[in-house]
Amino acid sequence: MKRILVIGSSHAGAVKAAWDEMKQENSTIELDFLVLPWPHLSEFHLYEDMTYGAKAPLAGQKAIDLSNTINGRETVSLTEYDLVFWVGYHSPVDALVRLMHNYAIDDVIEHDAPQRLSFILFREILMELVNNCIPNRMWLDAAKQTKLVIHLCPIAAETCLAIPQNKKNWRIATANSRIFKRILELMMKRLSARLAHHNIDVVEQPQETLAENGMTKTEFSVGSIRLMNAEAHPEKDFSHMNSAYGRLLLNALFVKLGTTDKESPNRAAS
Amino acid sequence: MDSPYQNLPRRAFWRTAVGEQAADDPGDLYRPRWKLDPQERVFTAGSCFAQHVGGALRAANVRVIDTEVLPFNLSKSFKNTYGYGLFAARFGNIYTSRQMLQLIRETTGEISPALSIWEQDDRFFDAQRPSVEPRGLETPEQVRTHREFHLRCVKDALDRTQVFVFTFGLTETWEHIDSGTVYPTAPGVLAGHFDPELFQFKNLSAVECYRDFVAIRARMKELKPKCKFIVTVSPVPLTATASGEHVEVATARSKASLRAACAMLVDEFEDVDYFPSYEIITSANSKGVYFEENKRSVTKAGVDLAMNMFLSAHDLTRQSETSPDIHNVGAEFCEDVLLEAFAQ
Repeated sequence: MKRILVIGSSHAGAVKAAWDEMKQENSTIELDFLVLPWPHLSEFHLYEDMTYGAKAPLAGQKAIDLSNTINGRETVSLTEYDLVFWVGYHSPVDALVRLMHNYAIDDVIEHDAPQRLSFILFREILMELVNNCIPNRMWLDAAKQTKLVIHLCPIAAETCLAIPQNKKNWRIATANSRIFKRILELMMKRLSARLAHHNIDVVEQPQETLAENGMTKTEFSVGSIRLMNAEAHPEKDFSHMNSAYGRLLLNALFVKLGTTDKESPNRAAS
Repeated sequence: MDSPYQNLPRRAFWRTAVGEQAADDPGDLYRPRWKLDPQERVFTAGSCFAQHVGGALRAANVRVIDTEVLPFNLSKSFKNTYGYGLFAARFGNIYTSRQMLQLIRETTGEISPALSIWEQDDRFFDAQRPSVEPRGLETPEQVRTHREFHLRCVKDALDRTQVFVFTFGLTETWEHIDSGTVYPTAPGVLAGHFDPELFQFKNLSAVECYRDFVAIRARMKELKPKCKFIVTVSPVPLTATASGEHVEVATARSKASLRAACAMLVDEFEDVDYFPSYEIITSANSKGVYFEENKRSVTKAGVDLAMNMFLSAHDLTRQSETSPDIHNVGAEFCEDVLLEAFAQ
């Protein structure tokens, strides 16, 4: 039996929904969840004894109560798991899209933007955005003891192009989809390498979920559900994904677990 | 018999204002002519010390103009390395009044700097601000495109200016012989190469600095008739001199000229105020404690002292720490420090 802990924000809803459909077929895997929607997730903390979750005084009573409602508990010990899967981890993609909207960039994008960047500076900014995605010291230490795999927030679904305030950003960023996808690829490659250096693995967004323009295909967004009460997200929601997406993630994770699984030191000691 | 000195305040006498003053208390050195209104839009420019003026004003929530910006989630040091977040636009350090005037004239299309693109190792640099893209750009055309964009931003900044703050840094500069174009660094220091047939050393006099600023003021008044001005002199000595003098003598000549220019401006124009940052840092009272071991760079304590005095005199208080990521004024963002590489 492999024990996996899923942590993260509302994006973990896709994995939760998928696991409800898949658990019968995966009897050798046990999946636990300790998740919380934003902004309450910021009150979850990792403690030195590898306990993770909502504890006073760092967490307020509301976050503690919410965790009990959603997860049936406030904290877990990461040492009890073979793998921790962090879903909906901070992604640099939204910052990239805003950057491409606000700046004309040499050799990348020319448009009537309020600011301009050289290609070298653009590249340096991308690297900074990637560096900003490295977890804090506590998590880096934890990754030495427990296998940690992350999945970034999914790229917005094409549905968002129908929403006026988002449409312009994404239209500009994806105007040249070849370049946009190439930039994403380079950022992910860099981020994966940086995380691998810290013993952290990445499950990337599955290729089959990506549309031609680099955004997430609408079919993976419709029907997404909330962490609480399994309620559906609003029809226009474009950032949360559904169980079909979650299923692809879990399959990718299980492949990773099967092929790269190592006996966790804590697990071995317990 | 009455003496004109008879009823003067303690600050008028050296013994009471300096000699007996506590070493860490510069005293009542600055009384602004008018108080800065935090709602007024402030344009800052000048030598590297000017970075601290902008930083202190930002920290006090004054509306400091910044027309070229990077995303907020990047670190200050990253932004500063590329010339962002330091001045009203991304023009880098402007050491001389001549260069400031030249930039303003360039925004109106009145002049076009000569030899405006310098090459180094197949990379191309804007000769008027070579440090803002430390690795240069790929083509001369890109430099021109970025320059055009930058000039629009400078013009936008000038159009919005209500208070113009300028820190005079140097009198020594290098100019293109035929056109009189000046550059922030000597050709060959950051990029380009020095050709004595094309460039010559220029040491601006006090009168030239004064005239430059009179012309700057006139331009600003055309744009904004109510525009006010604050001038100051950087206390940072020269890294190197090309004047043939000992560098300390050259520094005294340079700073004295700048200080004299400021005095002439203040004497002539009611809307020009002088902030004595030079005096605060170099005061006999401080006995040099506000300089680092290299006796040139100003310490963080010195910068804080000067800037806090400025803010306090204008009834402003720091709301946050938003000064540039520099503790050592002579270091990170001062191109002239590169001249040390040529010291034997």
